[in-house]
Amino acid sequence: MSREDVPVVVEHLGVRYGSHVALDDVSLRVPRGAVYALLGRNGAGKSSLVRCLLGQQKPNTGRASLLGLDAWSERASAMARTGVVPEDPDAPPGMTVPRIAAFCARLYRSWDVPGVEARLERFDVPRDVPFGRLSKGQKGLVSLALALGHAPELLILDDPTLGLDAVARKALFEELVGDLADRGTSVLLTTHDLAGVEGIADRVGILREGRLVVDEEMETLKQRHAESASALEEIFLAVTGEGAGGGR
Amino acid sequence: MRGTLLVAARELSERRTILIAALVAGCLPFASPFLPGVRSDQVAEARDAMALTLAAAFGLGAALLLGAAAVGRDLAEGRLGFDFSRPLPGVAIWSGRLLGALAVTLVVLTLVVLPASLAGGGIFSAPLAHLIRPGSLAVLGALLFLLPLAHVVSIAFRSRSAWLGADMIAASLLVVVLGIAARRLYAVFAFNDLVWGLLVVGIVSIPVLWAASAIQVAGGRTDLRRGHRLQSLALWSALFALALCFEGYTRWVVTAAPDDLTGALASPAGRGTWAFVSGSARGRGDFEAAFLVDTASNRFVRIGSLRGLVGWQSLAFSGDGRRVAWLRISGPQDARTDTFFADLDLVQPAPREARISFSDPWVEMAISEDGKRMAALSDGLLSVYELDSGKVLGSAKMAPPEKGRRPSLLFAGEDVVRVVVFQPLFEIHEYRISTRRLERTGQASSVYDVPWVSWDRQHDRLLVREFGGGRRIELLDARSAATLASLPASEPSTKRQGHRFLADGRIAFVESGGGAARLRVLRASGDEGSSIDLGRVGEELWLGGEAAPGKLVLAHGPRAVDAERASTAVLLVDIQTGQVREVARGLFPILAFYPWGGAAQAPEPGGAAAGLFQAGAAVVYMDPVQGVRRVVAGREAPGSAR
Repeated sequence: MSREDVPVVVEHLGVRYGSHVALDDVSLRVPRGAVYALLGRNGAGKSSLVRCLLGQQKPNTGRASLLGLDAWSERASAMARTGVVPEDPDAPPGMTVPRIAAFCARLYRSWDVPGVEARLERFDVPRDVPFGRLSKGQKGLVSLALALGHAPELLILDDPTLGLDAVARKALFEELVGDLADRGTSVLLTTHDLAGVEGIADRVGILREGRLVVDEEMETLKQRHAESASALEEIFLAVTGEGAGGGR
Repeated sequence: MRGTLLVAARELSERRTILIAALVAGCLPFASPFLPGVRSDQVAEARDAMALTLAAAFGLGAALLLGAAAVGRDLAEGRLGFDFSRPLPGVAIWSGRLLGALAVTLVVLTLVVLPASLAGGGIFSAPLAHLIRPGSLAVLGALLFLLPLAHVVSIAFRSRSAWLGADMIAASLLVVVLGIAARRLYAVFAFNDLVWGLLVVGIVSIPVLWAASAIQVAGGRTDLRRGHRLQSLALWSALFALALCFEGYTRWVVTAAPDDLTGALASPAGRGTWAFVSGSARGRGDFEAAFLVDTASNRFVRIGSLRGLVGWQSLAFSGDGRRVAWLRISGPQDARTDTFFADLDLVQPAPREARISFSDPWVEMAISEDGKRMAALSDGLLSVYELDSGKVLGSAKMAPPEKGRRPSLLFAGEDVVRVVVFQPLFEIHEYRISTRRLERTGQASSVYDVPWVSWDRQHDRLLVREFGGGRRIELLDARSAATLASLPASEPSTKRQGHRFLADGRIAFVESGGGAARLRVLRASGDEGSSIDLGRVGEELWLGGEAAPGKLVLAHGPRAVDAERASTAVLLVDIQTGQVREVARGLFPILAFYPWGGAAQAPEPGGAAAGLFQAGAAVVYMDPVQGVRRVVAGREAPGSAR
């Protein structure tokens, strides 16, 4: 398989903040059309990995590529084909959603205006309220609508359900599943919502203290832990050392 | 480019509130008639002044606020990722945001000023209107400087990294380096160089600041600390390079050599080979370099700036030519006058500061034959000092005249300082160091109109030349001021041009008329001696020194004060035989520059005084007897002299 066939390739990635090691020799791949759930406790290194993938942070060691493009040096080209939903929705706070959408539309070669409009309609996002005054849930849904606006080949979501209520979380996952069903977009998402992701993820990675301690197919993982745990949450707790079973 | 424009347009759109505030501020000047103290005939001026003040305040305030917020705020609050997760190059994000901020600032300025300027009748249409364009350029420059400055400062403080400490240290060091460099130019009174140098540093720092901010955004992206580190490295390396260039420039300015002088001027010692040389130096702006130059070897000693010297007459060579002393103002803002001296017989003479200072910048001074003692008349006190130690050997009150020529001083032997007072009467006083007594020893029987004096080598006679009135030249006794002789007055058809004591005590002067000229030599008593026909010469004659005993240099040419001195011809006259021969062209004897004869005492034959010539912008040493010729200062234009 060439790099182009594997939308996300992470090789021996290392990130340090002074003496603190945030990521230590992390390697992973997200196959085309797969949904990769990257799990880990707070501070495990998920956000650092996502920032490296998005070309917003230069790793100390190793490299990351998106859609065959180097995440750091070819970031802008990679972003043209990637949709991003950040942990903290970060659109300009003074602009209304239609203005933000109009700004984004000019940045991409193709922009699905009706599709974005329809999603915003479905999410029931007010049009005349500045982004900064929307609720956390609304901001997350707007971010997802914008991320899908240019029909990306790859979607990267950094804990998109953090702080969302049950309704917003449900809307987000439904939209995601719908998009996946329609277009087969590759997805890498980090989340604490293990139950939510359990139904859609093909592959799971678990970070613990900066090291990738699990990287395998969801089904394989479940089978391997079938005797001690049935749900993803139980497996996660076991792997991260929080459950009775301890680490791998 | 498209990305830049899109981001910039978004910035403009996001800052609508500021634009509305500026629009409101633009209307405020129309309320100026209601301000207290504004007369009805001043309404338009008050309105425009208020508009300009508000525009400056709004514009500079907007530049600082937007510069600090355009990137720094979003970066600190985690919102810059929105742009970096779009297909926008880092440079487009930086340029779009910063140029957007600049555009907002300019629009703000325009909105504040425009209503008042459209109304007309005030400053904008008054005689001061010509200041609008340079004022606008200055404001634009300030905006271009402040906007990225606010950005880099904002990033430094928001990152809260250890690099902030490094920034503080680097900024302090930068100020020190620039201060030292600026002080160097300030100390030598090179104010234009200083202002232009700092202006260039300021202007060049504008693109440096913009580049540092670009590197921070494009290289640091959403990593604030990495961005700060990159910004600091880029900023300080460029600014230190700039500061070092300025430092190097100031060093280069003050280390000008005599060769670098353009329009060099010289004042030679009466005896020996040294001369004081000064002038503007090539490419050094308003720095006027001053040197002591050995005309025999072209060795030189830098003594700062001509502007720092109290005046050319405040530099005196000792009678033996082995020491020189001079007075220098301690600094541009300090009226104290300090004394320096140098021993010229050392292998490498160097300026030494004497412990002698004066609070009054105007000091008349002289040094003794051997240079050990200095006499100074300052602030109503005549004092004699030992130069090496600064010790006062004696002093006496001697009030200077309230107006007109200040007295002239001369050592007559080691123990006596002779003072010639010109006004209200021509008097001679003597201060005897051993007895510490000041007494008037003589008074001239005549009243001279603008007199200058020169002395013979034995200090017992002096020549008084009158520059006004009857333009007399009289030989006086140097102690009693009794008239010993009057030089023959010019006839109606002749003009006397230059006079001089010769080394053997005789007196030479030249006179011309009807295209012919004569050199007349009087005996030491003032009685008629010999007369030498110089043949057909130019309209003007200038008397130089003795190239050798009895061999006198003079020059002739078309006009007295002539920029085109290349047309002068230098003659060597043998006083004994009456032989006259042309030895050079395009040279002008330096001694002839000085109305009192070029040296306080009759110069030694063959020394610097006799051998220095102006050759266009250069000073050359020429000894026609020995056949020696060399450039001492400046550069001789090719073909300007032969």
